[in-house]
Amino acid sequence: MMLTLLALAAQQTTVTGVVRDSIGLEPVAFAEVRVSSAGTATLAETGFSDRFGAFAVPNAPTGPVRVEASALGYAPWSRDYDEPPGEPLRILLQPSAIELDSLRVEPGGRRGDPISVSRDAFVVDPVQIRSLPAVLETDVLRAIAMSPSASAPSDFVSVPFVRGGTSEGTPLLLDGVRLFNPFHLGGFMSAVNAEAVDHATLLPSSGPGAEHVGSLSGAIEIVTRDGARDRHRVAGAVGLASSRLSVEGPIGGSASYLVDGRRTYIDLLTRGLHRVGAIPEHFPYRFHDLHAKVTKDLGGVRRLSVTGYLNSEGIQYEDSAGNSRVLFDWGNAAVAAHYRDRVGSRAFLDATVGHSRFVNDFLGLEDLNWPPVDTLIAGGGHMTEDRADVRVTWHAAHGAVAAGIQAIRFEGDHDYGWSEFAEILAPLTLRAAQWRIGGFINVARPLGGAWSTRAGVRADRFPGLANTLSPFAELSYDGSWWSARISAARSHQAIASLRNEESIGASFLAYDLMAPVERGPVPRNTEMSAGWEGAWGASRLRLDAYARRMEHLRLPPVVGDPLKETTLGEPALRMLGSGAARGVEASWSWARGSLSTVGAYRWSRATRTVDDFTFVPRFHRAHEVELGLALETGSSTWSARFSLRSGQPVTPLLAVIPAGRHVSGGSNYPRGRGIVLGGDYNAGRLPRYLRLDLGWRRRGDAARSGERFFAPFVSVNNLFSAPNVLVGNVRINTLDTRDGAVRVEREYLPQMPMLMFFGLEFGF
Amino acid sequence: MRPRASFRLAAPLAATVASAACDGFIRPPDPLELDPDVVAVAIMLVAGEREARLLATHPHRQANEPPPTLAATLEGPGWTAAFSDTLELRKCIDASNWPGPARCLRAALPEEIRGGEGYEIEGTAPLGSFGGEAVLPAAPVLIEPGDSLHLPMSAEYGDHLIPMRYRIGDDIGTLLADVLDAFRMEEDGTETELESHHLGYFGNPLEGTEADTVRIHYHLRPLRFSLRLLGIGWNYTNFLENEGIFPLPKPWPSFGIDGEGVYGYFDGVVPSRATRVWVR
Repeated sequence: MMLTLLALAAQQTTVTGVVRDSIGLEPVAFAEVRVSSAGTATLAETGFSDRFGAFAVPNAPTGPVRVEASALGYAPWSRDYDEPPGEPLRILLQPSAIELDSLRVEPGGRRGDPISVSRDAFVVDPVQIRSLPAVLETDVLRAIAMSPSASAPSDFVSVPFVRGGTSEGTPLLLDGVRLFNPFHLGGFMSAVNAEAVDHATLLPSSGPGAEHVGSLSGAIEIVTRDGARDRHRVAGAVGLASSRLSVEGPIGGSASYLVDGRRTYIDLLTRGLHRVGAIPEHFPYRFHDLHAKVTKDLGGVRRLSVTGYLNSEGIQYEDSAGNSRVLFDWGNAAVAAHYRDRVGSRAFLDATVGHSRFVNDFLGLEDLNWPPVDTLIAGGGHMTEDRADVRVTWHAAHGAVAAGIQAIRFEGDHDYGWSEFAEILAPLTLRAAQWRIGGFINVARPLGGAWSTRAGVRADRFPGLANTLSPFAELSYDGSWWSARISAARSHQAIASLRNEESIGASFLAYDLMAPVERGPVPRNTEMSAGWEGAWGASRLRLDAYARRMEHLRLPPVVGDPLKETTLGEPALRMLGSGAARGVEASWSWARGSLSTVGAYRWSRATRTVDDFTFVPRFHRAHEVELGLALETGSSTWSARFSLRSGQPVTPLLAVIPAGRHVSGGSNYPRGRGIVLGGDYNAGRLPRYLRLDLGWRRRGDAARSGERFFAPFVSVNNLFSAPNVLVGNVRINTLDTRDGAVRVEREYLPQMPMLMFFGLEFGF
Repeated sequence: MRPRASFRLAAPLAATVASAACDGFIRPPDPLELDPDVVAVAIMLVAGEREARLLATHPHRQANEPPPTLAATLEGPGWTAAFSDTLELRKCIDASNWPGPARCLRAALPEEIRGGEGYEIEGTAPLGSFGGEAVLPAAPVLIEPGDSLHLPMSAEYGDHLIPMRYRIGDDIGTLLADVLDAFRMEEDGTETELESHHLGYFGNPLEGTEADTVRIHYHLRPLRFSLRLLGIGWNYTNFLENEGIFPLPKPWPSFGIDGEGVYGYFDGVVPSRATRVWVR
C-alpha cells in the first residue's frame, strides 16, 4: 500500500502551511483548511492543522484555487491563488472578539467542546477548563475527568484512571516528555499550570492515534502555548492556596517565550494562623512549579521549541520541643526540545528529545532528645526517563503515512531502608533500568465510497527482556452527519507500578513509584472497540463500546483488608496478574445561544486477577454520569458540574463472631472482641456518589485580544454537602452488648465535603 | 447582568451554602442487618483432659432470646462422643462480657486428648449442618528453665523477667506462656493461692521462634508457681489473626469449622512440661 501511495503522490499537488493567531502568532491547532478549485467549488480537498498549527492538503486541484481556513474562535479566512502555492502558507486567523470566550457553535466544532475536534480523543482547551467550577484552582486534570473514559479514584485524587487501567498505564506527556507524579497536595490538584495549557488530550485507547506512546491505557498529552509574539503579556491568578503568574512575549521577530510559575502559601498561611492561635497546628507544606518554553519560528512549518519544567514539594517540620523532625522533599524536573521541519513537499518531520526526573527524599525522626533516635522513615530515590523520538508524517494523495523511531530509557531507583508507615510505604530497595528501542508505522487511507481504514504496527525491543509487536487496525465509515468505526489494537509497556490500588492510602495519594519490568513476560494490552458519532447542528453525540484485556501485570496479592494493604509496596512481592475491562461510553455536547453543556455516561466492568483470584478493584464504579453546564450572562460565566456515580466496591458483611485470646486457667474464651467475616471480596457496593459543584467567574481571556482583565471566580464544591463516601468499615458496638446482641454498623470515610473556593485571575 | 451585580449575587450564595459546610457532610453510620440464626462456636480441646467443651452463641441476637439449639459430636481415634451435657456458661466463658445468648456444651471422652492427634466434629445448627477437623500440634519442648528456677526478691519494685528457650514445630501457630499452681507466701507463713492473672497477662503469644522472655508481676511477698508453654494450632491462630474492621473476604483461611451459618474455630492446645519457680 505504501508503494501505491508513493506513486500517486508524485502526480499530485500538496498545499502546506501553518495556521497562526493573527495577534499573538501562536499556532492554531485543529483548524480546517480547504483548498478548492476557483472555477468548480465541488473540486475541493481539506486538511486539519496539527498541534503545531501545521497542515498539509494533498491532492489539491490544479489551476486557480481558493484556500479557506476556519478554526474555533476565529473569523473565517480565505484567499485566491492563480495556482496552488508551492511554498508553505502562513495563514493568520483573526480572533473573533465575540467568540473568544464563548461557547458558540462553529463549523466543525466549537471552543469548549471536547468531542468536536478529534475522533480519537477527548480534548479540553482553556475554555472547557474554565467552563467547569474550579476545585481549589482551575485544573486541567479535573477537566479531563469529564471524559467518560476517565474516572478519578476519589475526590482527593485528580489523576484519572482510564478504562479500567491504572495511572502507570496512562502516562502524562508535557510537550512530548513524560512527567512523573505531576500533582500537588497528594494528588488533589495537578502540577501543570492551567495558564500555560493550550490544550490537553486524553487518548483513551492505545490503538489509533496513540501508537507513538506505547502504553497500556492510552495517554494524557498536554500541549503548552508558545507564548505571544506581538507584545509582552502578564497573566496570573490569586487563589486560596496558591498564586500563579505567567509572562510571555516575543524574542526578536521570530521567537517567543512563555514563563509561568505557581507557589503555594499554605505553609505561610497556617503558620500565621497558628501564631495567632486560630488553628492548633501549623501545616508546614509547600509546593511550587515553574514552566518555561521558548519557541523559534524558522519559517514555514519549521520551528524549534524548548520546554523546561520544575516542580517541588516538601514538608519540613520540627516540633517546638525538638522531639521530632520531618524532612520530606520531592518533585520532578523535565526538559524537552522539539524540532519540526518539512520533508519534501508533503511530509513533516518531528524530532523530540526529552529528559524527565522525579526525586524524593524522606527523613522522619522522633525522640531526638532521648537516644537512640527513633527513625520513622528514611529513604529516597528517583525515577528518570530519557527519550529521543523522530517521526515523519507524510500526507499522500489518498491518505497519510506516519512512521517514527524511538529510544527511551527508564530508570527506577528506590531505597527506603526504614519505614514505620507500613500502610503507606514498605521498606524496599530497587534499582533497575530498561531501554526501549521502538519503531512504528501507520497508514490511513480511504477504501472507496465512505469507507476508510487505518492500520499500523509498533515494534519494540526491550534489551534483555523481550521483543514485542503491537499492531492495530481500524475500519471506519463516514456518513453525511455521522461516522462509525471498529478497531482492534495491542500495546506493550515494560514499566510497572509499586502502587496497590486496594489500599486505603491509594484513595488519598496519587503518587506512584514505578519500576522497570526486569523479567518477562512484558505487560500487554489487547483491546477492541466500536464507536459511533454524529452531529446535528450544535449537538454532538459519541458512543463507544470497548473490551480490553491487560495481561502480565505486576500486582500485589490481595490481603482483603484495605488497612493492611501497603500503598507503595515491595516489588518482589508482586505477582503476575491480569486485568479486564469492558464498557459502554456516551458523551455529548450541545450549545444554544449562551448555554452549553457537555456530558458523559459510562457503564463499565473492570476486574483484576492475581493468584487465580478475580475481583473488582476498589477504584471501580460501574456507572458514572458527568454533566457540565455553562451559561454566559453579560460578562459572567456560570458553571455547574453534576456527578452521579454508583458506589465503589466493598466486601459485604456476613457475620460478626466474638473472639478473644485463649488464657489457660481463666476464661478460656474471649472478651468482647469480634472477627468480621465477609462474603466475596468487593462483591458489595458502597452508597452511590452524588455531587453538584457551582461556579461563577467573570469572563477572562480578554488579554489575548489586547485588553486588561480582572476575573474573579467563586466556586462551591458539593453544594448540598452530599455525604459521599470513600470506604466503609465495620464498627462493632460492644458497649451495650451485655444485655443485647452485637450491634454492627458500617461507618465511612468521607469524600470531599462542601467547600468554597475563590480567587482572582488577571491579565494585562 | 453586569459583573459587579453578578458578584454580589454569587458571594451571598456561596456564603450561605458554606455556612452549612460543617454539618452533615459525613454520612452517618448505616446499621448492618445480620442473620439472627447464625451460630458462633468456639472449641479448644485441651491435651490431657477427658472432656471437650463447646461454646455456642447466637451473636446477632439479643441476650434474652433462647440460646442456640445445636447437636454435635466429636470424633477421636476410634471413638465418637456427643456434646450432650450442658455446663454453666462460666465453664466456657466470662458471660458478663459476651454478647447474645450462649450455651456451653460438654462431651465426656473415653480417653485423654492427645497432642499430635486428629479430631473431627460434626453437627447441625439452625441454618444447616457443619463440620470440621483439627490436628493438635505436638507438645512444645521447654529447654530453659530446667525443672526448677529460683529467683531472688528484688529490693526495688519491678517485674521479674524469666528467659525461656524452647523448640516448637511448624504445627504450632500460637505459643503462649502459662502460669499455674501459683501461691504467695504471707508474713504469717501461710500461702495464698493466686489466679494466673495476678501474676501477669499471658494471652499474648510469644514471638521468638526459639526464645523469648516472660514477665511476672512483682509482689511484695515470695511466690511459687509453675511455668509452662502452651502450643495451639493454626485454626485458632488464623482466626485471631484476621481480626479487623473490614470484613474478611472469602475464601477464608482454615478455622477448623465449615458449615452453613456456623462460624468460629475448632482447635487444640498442648502444654509443655512445667518448671517450678520460686521467688524469694
